[in-house]
Amino acid sequence: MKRYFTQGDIILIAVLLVLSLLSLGAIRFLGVSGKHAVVGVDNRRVLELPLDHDIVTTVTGPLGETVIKVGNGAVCIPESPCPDKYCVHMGHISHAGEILVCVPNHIIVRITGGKNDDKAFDGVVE
Amino acid sequence: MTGSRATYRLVLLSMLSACGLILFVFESFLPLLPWFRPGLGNIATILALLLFGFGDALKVTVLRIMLGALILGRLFTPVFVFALCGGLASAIVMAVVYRYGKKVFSPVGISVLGAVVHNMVQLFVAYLLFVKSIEIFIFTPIFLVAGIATGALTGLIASMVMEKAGKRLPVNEYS
Repeated sequence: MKRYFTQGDIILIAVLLVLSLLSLGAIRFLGVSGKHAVVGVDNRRVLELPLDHDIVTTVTGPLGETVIKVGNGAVCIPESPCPDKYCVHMGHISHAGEILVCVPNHIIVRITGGKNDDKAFDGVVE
Repeated sequence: MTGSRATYRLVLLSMLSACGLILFVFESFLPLLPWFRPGLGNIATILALLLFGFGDALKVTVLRIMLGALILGRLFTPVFVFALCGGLASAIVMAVVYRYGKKVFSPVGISVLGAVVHNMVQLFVAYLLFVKSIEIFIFTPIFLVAGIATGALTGLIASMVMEKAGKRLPVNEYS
């Protein structure tokens, strides 16, 4: 195996690994404990759902209605009209900064940190 | 360059493009994680780069992406745009690194760099053109690590192919 690698390769791989760890750290550092799921369509914020209220709702994008489900402090997309269903396969998210994306239907679900979330709303529609 | 040599180069480049295309189409059927592909088609780009240089590596890459998109029916879709931008950027970076850093990096290192550039450019294009939300960069660590792993794999395969076949091909005199 050794003849296929040079020292430069190993240094390069090490540097890239450190870089990916740093970016992971940066993301963890920036994301605080998750409290709200912000749903956006075409970069417009359409819905804000607190994670401690279980709810199932739908958001309409260019392809149709995407189902957004909040349960047990996590968000997932159980159903979507997009062809590939990547968003459905992304599973549950619960930490701040995590996202669910449905590119075909232009939908992003993002979890925002719970710093000033003492508002007594079940959800905010803008 | 004599006629037979030009023919030789044409045939080899066509074969490389075809092999890259087959790997590209084949891996698109793999039921792995939705966004994860090993990028086996990049082996053809690396081999073209090692054998013939930058211009031909670019030709092999563009041919593979265009024909692959035609075969898979995704010409001019977002996936195609990602593949084209990522493929071009990765080919250019690999060519520059190969030209100036041949002594420092083996094909494995060049391939790792190419794969990482490929992934990050795709992420950036997705951000600029489609998602437009900074949160998409949460995928950065995964994309980087995936690039290192797949780049090392394809680079290793390319090195092995070069070792087995490279000596038998009288191509070094053309580049």
